[in-house]
Amino acid sequence: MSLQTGELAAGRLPQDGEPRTAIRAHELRKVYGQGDTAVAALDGVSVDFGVGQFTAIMGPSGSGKSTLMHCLAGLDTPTEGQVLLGETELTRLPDAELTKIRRDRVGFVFQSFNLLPMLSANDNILLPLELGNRKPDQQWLSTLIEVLGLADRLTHRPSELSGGQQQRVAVARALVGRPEVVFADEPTGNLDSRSGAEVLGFLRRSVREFGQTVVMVTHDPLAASYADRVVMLADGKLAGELRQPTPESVLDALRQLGA
Amino acid sequence: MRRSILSSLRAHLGRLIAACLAIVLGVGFGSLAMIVHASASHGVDETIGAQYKGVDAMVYPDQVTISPADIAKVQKVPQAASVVTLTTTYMDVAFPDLVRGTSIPVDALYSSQQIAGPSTSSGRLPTATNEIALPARTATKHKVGVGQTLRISSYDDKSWTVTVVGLLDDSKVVGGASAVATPAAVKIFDPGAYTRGIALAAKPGVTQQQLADAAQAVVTSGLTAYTGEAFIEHEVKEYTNGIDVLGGVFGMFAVIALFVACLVIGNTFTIVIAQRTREMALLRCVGASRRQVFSSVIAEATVVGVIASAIGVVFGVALSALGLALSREFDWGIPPVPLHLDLSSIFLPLLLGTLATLIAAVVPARRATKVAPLAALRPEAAPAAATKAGVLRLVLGFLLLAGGGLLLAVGAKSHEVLIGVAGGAISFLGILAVGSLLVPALIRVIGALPARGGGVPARIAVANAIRNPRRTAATTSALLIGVTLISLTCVGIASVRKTFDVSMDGQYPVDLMVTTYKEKMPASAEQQLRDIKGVTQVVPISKLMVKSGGQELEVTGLDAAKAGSVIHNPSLAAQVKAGTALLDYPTMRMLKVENGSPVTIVAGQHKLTLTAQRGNGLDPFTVTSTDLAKLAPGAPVTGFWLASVPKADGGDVIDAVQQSIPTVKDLSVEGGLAERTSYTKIFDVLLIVAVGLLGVSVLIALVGVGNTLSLSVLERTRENALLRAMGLSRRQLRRMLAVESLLMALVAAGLGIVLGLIYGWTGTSALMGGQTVDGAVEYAVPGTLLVVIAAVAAVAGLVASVLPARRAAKVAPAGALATE
Repeated sequence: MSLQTGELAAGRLPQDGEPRTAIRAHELRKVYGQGDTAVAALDGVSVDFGVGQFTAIMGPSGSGKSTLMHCLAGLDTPTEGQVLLGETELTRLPDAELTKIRRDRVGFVFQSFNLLPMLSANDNILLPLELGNRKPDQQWLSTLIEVLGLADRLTHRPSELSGGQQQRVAVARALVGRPEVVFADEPTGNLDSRSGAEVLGFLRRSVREFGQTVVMVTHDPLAASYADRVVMLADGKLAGELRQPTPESVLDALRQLGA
Repeated sequence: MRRSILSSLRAHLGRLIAACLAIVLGVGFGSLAMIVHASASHGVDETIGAQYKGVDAMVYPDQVTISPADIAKVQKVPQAASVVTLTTTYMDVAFPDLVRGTSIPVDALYSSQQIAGPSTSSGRLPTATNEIALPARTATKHKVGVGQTLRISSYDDKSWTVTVVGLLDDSKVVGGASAVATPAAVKIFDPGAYTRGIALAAKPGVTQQQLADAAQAVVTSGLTAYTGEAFIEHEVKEYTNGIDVLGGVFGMFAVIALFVACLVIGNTFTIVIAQRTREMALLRCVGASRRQVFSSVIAEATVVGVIASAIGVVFGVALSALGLALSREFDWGIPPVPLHLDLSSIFLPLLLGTLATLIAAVVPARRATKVAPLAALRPEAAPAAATKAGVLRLVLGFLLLAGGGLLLAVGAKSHEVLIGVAGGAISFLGILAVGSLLVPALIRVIGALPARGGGVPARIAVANAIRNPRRTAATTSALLIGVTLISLTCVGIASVRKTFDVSMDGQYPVDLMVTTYKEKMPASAEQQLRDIKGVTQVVPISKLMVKSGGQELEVTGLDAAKAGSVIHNPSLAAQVKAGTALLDYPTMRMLKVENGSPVTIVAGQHKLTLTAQRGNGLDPFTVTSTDLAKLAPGAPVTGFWLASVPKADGGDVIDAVQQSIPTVKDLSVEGGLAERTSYTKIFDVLLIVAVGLLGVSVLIALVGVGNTLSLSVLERTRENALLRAMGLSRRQLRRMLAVESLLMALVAAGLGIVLGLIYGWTGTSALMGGQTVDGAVEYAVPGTLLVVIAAVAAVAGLVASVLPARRAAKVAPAGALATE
């Protein structure tokens, strides 16, 4: 354990010049099971994610990184602690409200099985908007499609697309509603390195050019190096943080965690 | 292997319960049918046996009637210890609660040590000629007690006053019970009373056969001497013919229910195995042979089949006991029958249920053996890809459809029922075979509406419903069979009924014709008839004796303006006009007139010439009341023609009319209502029975729809989780599944109703075409019934989606996504 742990664990306030907070976790605990078999997947995690930042959450298997993301995204409810999305506290919300928040204020990119097989690429992209009866911003939509190179793939079913294309459709779907935060769960896990680089490059572009907030869970140091900041997790606790990471510095930090 | 079978049974209990439910319903229904049938025929055997206790031989009038000479000869048969003549006459009994008497059978009492006669439940048997004993139920109905006197009269209008001295125990009598009087009294009432048999009891040491042979030797040929046992069998057969028909009908519906259950079970096993692909593959990986995998599935099916069938039999026995107890409690017009269980009615359903389960499991079990061991090592089975419907199957299906349709058309055209039925069955098999093509296409058509108006969830529901065409087709097939059969029955019965109605309107165009002969109709008679519930129209008529061409005949005068209101046949009613006489066929022949030829009638000094027209179903010679007035000005009203509400209980209306106008002693009530009522009742009962029985198969089919949906829910756990993560609310998810279920139910209902119409109409044509005068058949569309069928199917479809939808909605999105 090392590396600015104390500073982070204290849940320090944002300082001048630092960006506004898009989403904040405060003393999150998530316990699975009961009594003797209880396992704390998250054990008091407090962390902020700034608006317009690309943050990667890293850690070894079982460190709780996916659980943290699920709690942040309103997919799962923590046992204790709070999650604030903007001004909204997610942890006390009933399912219907959480559903609305997922639909309107959050975007997702998953590792695999990202798309609904019976819908075309275009329908998949528009799915969250249609679920919320919202009209897509046509200009934004065509920008996304052009940037992601999906123009000639829109009528195809997922089974007719390559893995990289499917993931780009998923990225478009996550971004089309201009959500407050995009959560990406191992977005390159199932892709070859070239397709993975494309997807990561686009996520970074969305942060730089469009001011999107992105939180990504990954165990790949190369993927993490695309982020502005890397948050380390081990045994359900925060284990450090890196700014402007490079693959080497991430690898170093991970090695220290393992030590 | 056994351990793995048992543990897999335990693990998949929930899923298997669904299959069990289908078996329990199918088997339960089958055993119910068999037990009720067995109990009823057993009960009838017992009752009729009791009625002829002690009879060793019976001389029965098969072809000729029994003459006094026969009786005398039989009485001299030396082998007989006792000979009893069974004599019956019909007497008009003036019960105090009736205006006019009613006819009941009166048996001559006999007494013999060997042959048991009727026994009384209260009072005593008659001993004098002025005494009578009534069946207890008849006495209760007319509120007559022991000691009361009754006026009875014979068919030739002689009357006597008799005292009721006893009430007969008729609680176990099958059919209508008779009153009894002494043989001497019956001889006085009706010297030529009908002898319905001579019963003999044998002397000790004489067998039934010897006695019967001895009796047969002395009687005229044309009479049959049965042994006592053979006669009881003969009587039972005479009576249970109805029950055997019912048994056949019950059996057929039970087979249909079992067939539908088979489809559902097969589907459920397919589902269970599809879910366990990895498990099976793992077994294969660790060294299980294909055979072992196959037999493990079959073993599982056997256990499930035996247990579920056993539960079904218990369920069936309980239901039968309940039903029979209820029929004893409430008088349903059938003799009380005790529960009778025989081995075949318990073990046959058990065996059939288990067999059906096994047969249903064979195809899924074979599919299970095709699972490659490698499947266990693949990350996650992709969501079930749409299996291409077998081309062979489709070709075969279309061939069956075309061939069956052709046969059906031939059967309908040539009025050959068997050809029609064969065509129907073959074409239906064709429909089932092409179901994997047809059903998804129909779902797409029907689904177009919700897909456009219902947003994404509805669109996904439509897409989901047709993702696995074969599974969807199999699921809807089960429902389709039930709905088709029910609508076929409804359409068929409605069409046959309409055909009957039209032919009735030709034969009996007037519901009721009330006439008095020598008496005067009171002025209030018309109002009295009008006040009867169910009577809608009352048109007075006058009858007059006239002469024509040397013949004497009766002419009926009817107000032409009102003719249309009581004559159901509009073209006939239109012929009632001044200058025309409507004659029936016998009258035309008697007067030697033709259609359109003039006919002259004379009454006193008046003479009238009219144009003769053929008019069936009215009185022999019907004219307008104005024409009649020309012959006899101011002729008195002698009767009325009545129309009744079609929905009224015809029996009640006839009873009320017969009991009306008390000042008239002799009132004749005729017309088509009695006949119409009797067949209306038959059709109503048929409809209720058939729909009720087929309802069971629909119930089973719905279990199948629920099953398929819950499999889909399981298969799509991750998909649904993704949708939930994207912002699909729980309610939207539930609605999505409801739409999917609704689509399947509606397609089955719609297709079933269309097929039901086609089969019902062609069936009516095949069945009735040869029966009507001109081969014309009416095609009815029982709209309300069909809408109800569709509505029930839709609601049931929604209900079937409730449990799977709840399960789907419960899944937390994060949990489902995490299982990678």
